[in-house]
Amino acid sequence: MEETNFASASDSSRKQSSIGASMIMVVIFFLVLASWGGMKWYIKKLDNTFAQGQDHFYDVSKSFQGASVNRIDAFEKRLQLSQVQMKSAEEINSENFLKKLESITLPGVQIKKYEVNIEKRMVAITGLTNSFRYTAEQIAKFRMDPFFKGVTVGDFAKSEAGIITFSFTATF
Amino acid sequence: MRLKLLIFPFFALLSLVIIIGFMKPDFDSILEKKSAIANQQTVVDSADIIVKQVATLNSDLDLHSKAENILLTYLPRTLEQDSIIDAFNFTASQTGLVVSDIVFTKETVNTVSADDLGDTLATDPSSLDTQKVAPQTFIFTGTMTGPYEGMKTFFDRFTRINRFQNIILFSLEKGDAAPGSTVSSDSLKGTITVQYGYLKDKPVSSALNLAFLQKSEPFDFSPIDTLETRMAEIAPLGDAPSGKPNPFQ
Repeated sequence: MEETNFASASDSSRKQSSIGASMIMVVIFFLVLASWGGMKWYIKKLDNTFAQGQDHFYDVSKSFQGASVNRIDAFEKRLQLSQVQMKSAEEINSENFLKKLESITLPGVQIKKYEVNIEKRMVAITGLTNSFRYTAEQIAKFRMDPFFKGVTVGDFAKSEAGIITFSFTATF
Repeated sequence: MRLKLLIFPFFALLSLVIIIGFMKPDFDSILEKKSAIANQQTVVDSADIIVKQVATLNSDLDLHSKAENILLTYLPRTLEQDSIIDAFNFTASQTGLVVSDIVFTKETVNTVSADDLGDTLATDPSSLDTQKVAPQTFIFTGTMTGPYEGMKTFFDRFTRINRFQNIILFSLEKGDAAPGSTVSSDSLKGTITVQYGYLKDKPVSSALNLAFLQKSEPFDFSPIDTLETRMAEIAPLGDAPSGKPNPFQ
């Protein structure tokens, strides 16, 4: 009899714990469902936020073109190009080349032609003199000047009147 | 009773199915959407900055319309060769020279490369459109005759006219005095070859591609002041340091 009572109590306890576990599982299930619903709501909210962002961008992007943008773009380009140009203009100054010529031309020499090719960074000089000594001295003066490099001597010609025409080029 | 026993595994299985089959993909979707929104926010913020910057720079230009006009004269939208002829003739007559020849040559090759435009443009990939910035150019060759002092002043003044220019070549040549010629034996023939630029305005496809708008910086007008000063400044003729004041005599 005692054995029967013990078995009955054990069976009842097992049943109760099984029902308890089932109840917990049901609660968990509904929690899962609620979380899923929450996620669906959050996704919808994110979609709305994204759509609002797109609408805002669409509104803003209307200002990406037009007269105002073209105006400031044109100004900026001109501003940059002017800076580049001014920089190169500072390096090349016609006055400097002429002053240089004045400073190193010997009194006994007359320059006939002075050509400054800035693109090729080269000067070509043709001069007249009545002495080969002056010619040599003049070329040496250019050769010694730190501004000019690579002096290349060209043709020499002496006229019947004794005038020597000489030419040379130099890079800078 | 047996059905009651099935409740636990049934709901456990159902929960697992919902978690793995539905919640996991939704969770991934949330992460993706959040990332997309973050990216979108960056773009929108950047767009807002650009729009604000466009408005600011425009009002800045309204306040500095003189500077804008100086640059438009300096680098006009069209060739405007007439202004060069006018400046050439005016400068020559001011310095006692006689204009003898003017030649214009159209050029297709641009000399200002993107490399010259500085680090900002070269390094910013979003500024690819801007990297192509280079003026269209043409070549002007002018010849004049007159005394050496006049030539010196002429070259100095003419290279300061308010145009975008690169001097390519200049030369001075003493001609052989022809018997009975009215031209003084001191007279020289001067030639100057200059490359001039102009810039056709092109409509901007999108302000998003303009790198300078991404920085909230105002225009720097100081180069225009320098440009204006340089154009206005006509250097007086200084004494030759030594040697010959006129090497052509």
